[in-house]
Amino acid sequence: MSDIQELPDGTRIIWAPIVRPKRYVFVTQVLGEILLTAGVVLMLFVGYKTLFQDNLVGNQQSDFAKTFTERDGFVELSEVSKEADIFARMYVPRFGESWTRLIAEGTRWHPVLNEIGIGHYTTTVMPGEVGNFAIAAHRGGFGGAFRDIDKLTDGDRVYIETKNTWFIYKFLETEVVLPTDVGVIAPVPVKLDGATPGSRYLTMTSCTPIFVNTERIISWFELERTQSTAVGMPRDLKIVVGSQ
Amino acid sequence: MYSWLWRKLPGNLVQKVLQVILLSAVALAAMYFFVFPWLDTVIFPESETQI
Repeated sequence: MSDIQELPDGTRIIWAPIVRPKRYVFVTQVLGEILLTAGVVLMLFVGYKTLFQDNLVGNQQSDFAKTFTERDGFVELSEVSKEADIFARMYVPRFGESWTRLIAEGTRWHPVLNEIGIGHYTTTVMPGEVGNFAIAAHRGGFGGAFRDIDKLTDGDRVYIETKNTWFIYKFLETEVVLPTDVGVIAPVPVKLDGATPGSRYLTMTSCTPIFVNTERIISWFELERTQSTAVGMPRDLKIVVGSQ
Repeated sequence: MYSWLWRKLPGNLVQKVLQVILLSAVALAAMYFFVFPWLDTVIFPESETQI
């Protein structure tokens, strides 16, 4: 459907009718752009969840933990009674030399895990007591306090600083269990090899795999020693974290 | 949609590109600080069984 015009100099001009795009072409084009935009927004949201929000909240929790005692002080272990009472600060050198988080009573997302970082299962004992001091934290999202829980290994220690005492626990074992295996936080933890009544355990719990959360990852520790806060930070921890 | 927006932007090519960068930054900031935090609570309502 075109006309060909030839000019005197031999130039040929091809005239073709203007074909207006049909309406459905316009609609599908707009729809395509909307879908592409939605895809980009979705990818940005994934980035927000996995990087931006995680780092932002993690830094807030870490800063909060580092400056806490100067402002408020810990609740005495014997006086912990209500949700979100902050009674300890935790150091895990395996998670990084600057890693530290506060421990509060209760394991609800709000106001404990999302804002403070680590929560204490209210049905378990307090640090240093006979039985199982069990705590929980996010693996991914909202700071992901226990993100590297799977990297804990033999020889690792965690340090729990309370108002009057440092509790130093040594690593025993890590297991991946089902969410229904609640016996892992029992006074004599189920599935912990060689667990005996009368021991003083620490159990760290979190979700696994990261952002999938179909299972639970459990790390057990046993109390190795204690020392008064009056003599300062444990020597071996001080070497790792410096004067913080 | 985007071609229509591009045509509506005033100025020459450089000015248009700068405006696109600025508008994108504003949209990104709005999403990260307002839209996504809200969307997060809608898509992932609190679950006490998942940590």
